[in-house]
Amino acid sequence: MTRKSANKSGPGFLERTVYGISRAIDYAEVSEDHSNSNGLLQALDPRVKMFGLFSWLLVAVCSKRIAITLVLLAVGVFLGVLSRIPIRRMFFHAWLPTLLFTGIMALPALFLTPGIPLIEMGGFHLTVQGSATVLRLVTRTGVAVTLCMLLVSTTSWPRILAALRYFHIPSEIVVMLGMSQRYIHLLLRLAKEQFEARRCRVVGQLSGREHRKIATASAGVLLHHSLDLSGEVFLAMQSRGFRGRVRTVDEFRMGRMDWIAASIFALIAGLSFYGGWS
Amino acid sequence: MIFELRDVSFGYGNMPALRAVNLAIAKGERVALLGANGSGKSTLLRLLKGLAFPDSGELLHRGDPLKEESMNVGEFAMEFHKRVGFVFQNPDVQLFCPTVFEEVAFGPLQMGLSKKEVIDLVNEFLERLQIAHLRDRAPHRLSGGEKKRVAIASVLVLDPEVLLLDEPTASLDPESASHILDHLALDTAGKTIVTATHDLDIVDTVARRCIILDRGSVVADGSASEILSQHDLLRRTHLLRMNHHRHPDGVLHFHEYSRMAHRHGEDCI
Repeated sequence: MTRKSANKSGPGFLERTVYGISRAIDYAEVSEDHSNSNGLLQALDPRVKMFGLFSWLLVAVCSKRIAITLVLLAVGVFLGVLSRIPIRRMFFHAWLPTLLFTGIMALPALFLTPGIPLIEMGGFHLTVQGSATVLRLVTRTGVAVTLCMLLVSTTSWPRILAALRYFHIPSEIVVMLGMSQRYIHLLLRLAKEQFEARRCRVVGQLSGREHRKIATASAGVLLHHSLDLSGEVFLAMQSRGFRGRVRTVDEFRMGRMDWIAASIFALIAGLSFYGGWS
Repeated sequence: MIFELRDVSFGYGNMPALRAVNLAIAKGERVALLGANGSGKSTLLRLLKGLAFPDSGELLHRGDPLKEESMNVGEFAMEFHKRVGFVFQNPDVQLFCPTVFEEVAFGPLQMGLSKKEVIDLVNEFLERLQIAHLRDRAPHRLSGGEKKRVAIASVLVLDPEVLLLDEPTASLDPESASHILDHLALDTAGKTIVTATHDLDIVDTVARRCIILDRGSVVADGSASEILSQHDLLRRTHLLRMNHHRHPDGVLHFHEYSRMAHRHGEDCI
């Protein structure tokens, strides 16, 4: 490898990639651990959570009033706290990315939406209507991300898949989702090992061109591996009788607590719908 | 005969993997396919499982030709897959379901068993292979030995007459390997077992008959004791290598790698 000026500080491309992959794996494992902890939502049947949180999500994104969306966001945060999801985690994994991505996308609307001028900035008018539009978009996205985070942080992936089957999502799609998650893990670990092996053999700083070469080569190897793997997995499925139609077995039992929770979810969704449209 | 191969050849593109292989495997036999890496063991197992088909020659299963067309017939394929189980070398390939329970349940469900039957059967096999505590775990969070045990359970649950094992103890620590071998010895009575391996230490446990493959051809076929005693043949086919070391008294020993525990003058040159 070509050695460049060693004066450059900070982590290089390889370090950042390994760190990023490790974080992705850690995040998935922490989510799985959370789903097994002793919290309010963890104790509920996954079908109830899916029904309840999805109905809130629909009401929040359809509501005409920002106040209703904010109330649902607050209730979601409260449920998160009762389910032992740290506020810090919600902030860094849900709200901050939402604010950044949605905020940037919605930024032009602040100035381009016609309406009553609020502030003048460099010849542009920030309007009341524009601000309301941006606020509505950001809060809707925020509540949607928070509710989804509540579901995935308090329910193990296999239980989510089983609940999806209960809601009559075609089993082929559910199986594909399950296999994707399984093999994303496998390929992430492979990618991490690949970059670690590469890092062990690199001394000094690499040029941008070399970084790009490594990234392209690694992507090629991973693609090759994933193609091989998919062929092998298909053979493994065939060898156990797979003939194009997947059959599954799910075990669910609704307890008293689940019925009560389902009623509360429905009640809040109903009230929010009424409040948001009246 | 469970399997009969007549002049079977197979290749990957221009690379021949099997060359004019002739052999027969009878019901209840325990056969070890021995050979160095790239000798054609795994390819032969794939042919026996109907996952690949000969380029030339004939492969018979219970007297019927095993062809791509016959494997496309639903009922025949279903019956064949139920009768012939295959444990892949890489358990990550075989474990594609979200949990251990669903993994073991996959085969019986595809075979059309009722949900109640499947649940009872899977629970029984999880207990039998001592993996009941892993029931709701995701396969990516299992150790290598645990993955292998789940892979074996997912095949044994179908109660196949024939079990094809590709390197069942590869990359396992000695304890996990011995667990796997114990289960295979206990749970497979009366079954026909074909094991591809280059680990001579497990041959006594898994086979009575050995077939040695070298660069895609069968170079030896006989009883396990007969084959394992032919050190020249094993060395020639890269299954045995010489080890040398010096004892504290200064005597230099040359002996087979697999005979590490020894006294002076025993199995040494």
